[in-house]
Amino acid sequence: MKAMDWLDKLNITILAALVAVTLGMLVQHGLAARQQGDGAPSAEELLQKAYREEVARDTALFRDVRLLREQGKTRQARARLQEIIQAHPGIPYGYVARARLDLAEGSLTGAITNFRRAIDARPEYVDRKTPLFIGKEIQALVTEALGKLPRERKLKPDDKEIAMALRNVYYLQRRLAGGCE
Amino acid sequence: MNWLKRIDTALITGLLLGSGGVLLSLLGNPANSGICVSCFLENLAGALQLHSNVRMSYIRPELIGFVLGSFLVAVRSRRFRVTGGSSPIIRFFLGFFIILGCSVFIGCPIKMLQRLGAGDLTAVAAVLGLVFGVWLGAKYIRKGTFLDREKEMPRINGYIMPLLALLMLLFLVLEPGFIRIGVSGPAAMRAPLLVSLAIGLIIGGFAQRSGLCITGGIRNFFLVRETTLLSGVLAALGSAFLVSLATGQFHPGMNGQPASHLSHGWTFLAMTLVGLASVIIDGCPFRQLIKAGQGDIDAAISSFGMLAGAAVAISWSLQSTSAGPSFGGKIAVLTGLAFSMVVVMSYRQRGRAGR
Repeated sequence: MKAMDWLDKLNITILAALVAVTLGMLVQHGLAARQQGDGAPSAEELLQKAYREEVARDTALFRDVRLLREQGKTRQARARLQEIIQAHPGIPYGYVARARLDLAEGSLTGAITNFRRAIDARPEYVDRKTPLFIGKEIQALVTEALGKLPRERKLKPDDKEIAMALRNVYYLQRRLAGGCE
Repeated sequence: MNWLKRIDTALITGLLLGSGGVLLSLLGNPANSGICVSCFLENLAGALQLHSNVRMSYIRPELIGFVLGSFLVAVRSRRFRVTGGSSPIIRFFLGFFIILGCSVFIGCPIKMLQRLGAGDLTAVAAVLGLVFGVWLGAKYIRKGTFLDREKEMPRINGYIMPLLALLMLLFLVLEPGFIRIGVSGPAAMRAPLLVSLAIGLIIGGFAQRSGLCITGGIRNFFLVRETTLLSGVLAALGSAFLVSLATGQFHPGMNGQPASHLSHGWTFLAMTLVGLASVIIDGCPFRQLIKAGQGDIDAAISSFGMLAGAAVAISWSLQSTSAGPSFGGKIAVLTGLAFSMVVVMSYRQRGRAGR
């Protein structure tokens, strides 16, 4: 190995200084950020808080619809739901409320369609790690639908509504199974 | 390391890949996606803020393990050879399109084996597509298609990828402000960091020794009826099946499979693209990472292409969902296939044609 000349020595000195300064700056910056962040909520805590606020907002906003549905007044509930959706467009929970009304009125296919819309708009509805999770309710619907719809499909092979509902049930089933989506 | 020479390392690597993937799923990684290079690259791209889907943002320690495991074993066994300079931009874009193909199927070839091993019959179309793509690539090789020869390069080039892997590990541990880690969705589904890293390191090391590659195993069989690597591929499938069965994760059928869809034609075409492009750049996505760790700069360039593809797949919504492939994803597959066909035609040296 050749002996180092003055340029090599200069190079190594500058390199050592650069590494030392960079590391020093990083450590200082890290310490400062940690001091500032002490006691401040983490990103996960902030997100969980936002989820809880969303649940509280939806529960309050759709309270009348739920009460009317539980009293069996589905027509009034649907009218109230329409008012809420018009006043607050784009809230995914509207689909969940519709699906529950569909179920109360005995419309399995309608409930399936609306739960699918809900999940497409808010994937957290099937995410166990969030308070928005309603996967158990959807799973129960899927189990019920899988017991009925394939039989109906055999009896009415040309019925497009049943075919579409079955496709939606399989979609819900895949989403409930999880995976990297 | 002498004991390693006495046993079939390809077989062991396959067993580790298959069983490791299922175990990682059990320990917290997404279902049927314990090891998926394309999904993990999508997560990495998100963590680096190359796309904005926070649910797909995490630095997967397994990726770091693959590169560092390969690097450490290569250095220790004096197989760390720094080469490169073979058609870099072609390799970049083939890597790019490989990940787009994977994102339309929803998974890389390793995940394809895991899905099949767990009873996901929608992966059958992917296997057929991948085998067809590799067969097509092998035909072109026989007829004289080769990318130009790589040459020796200064060693510092080979240290870049392992250093980047170390940097990612540092980012994962320190979580500086510019790194984004998702706390819901697939990003929040993760096995413990040290377990993921250890499994990645072990598999990376064995893969470096064995040269295991999903597409390479199939290609070698088509080209010269050589079955060493293919035995590793089959071992990965077999062990994924057995461990899935033993752990109650085996659910045979088409419906209700995690992160899958029923557009079998597009699955076939997407994996044909993955097979063909992988044969041209000499390795599946997993193999590109292993080679990048052992000093192959061409594989490093392909890996950067894969990372760019992963970012674009999410940013432009090219990836499939449970509802099926998107319009953009279909166009990406067709464009990738066209690009691959142009490349194999352009590089064909008719004087060197075989049978």
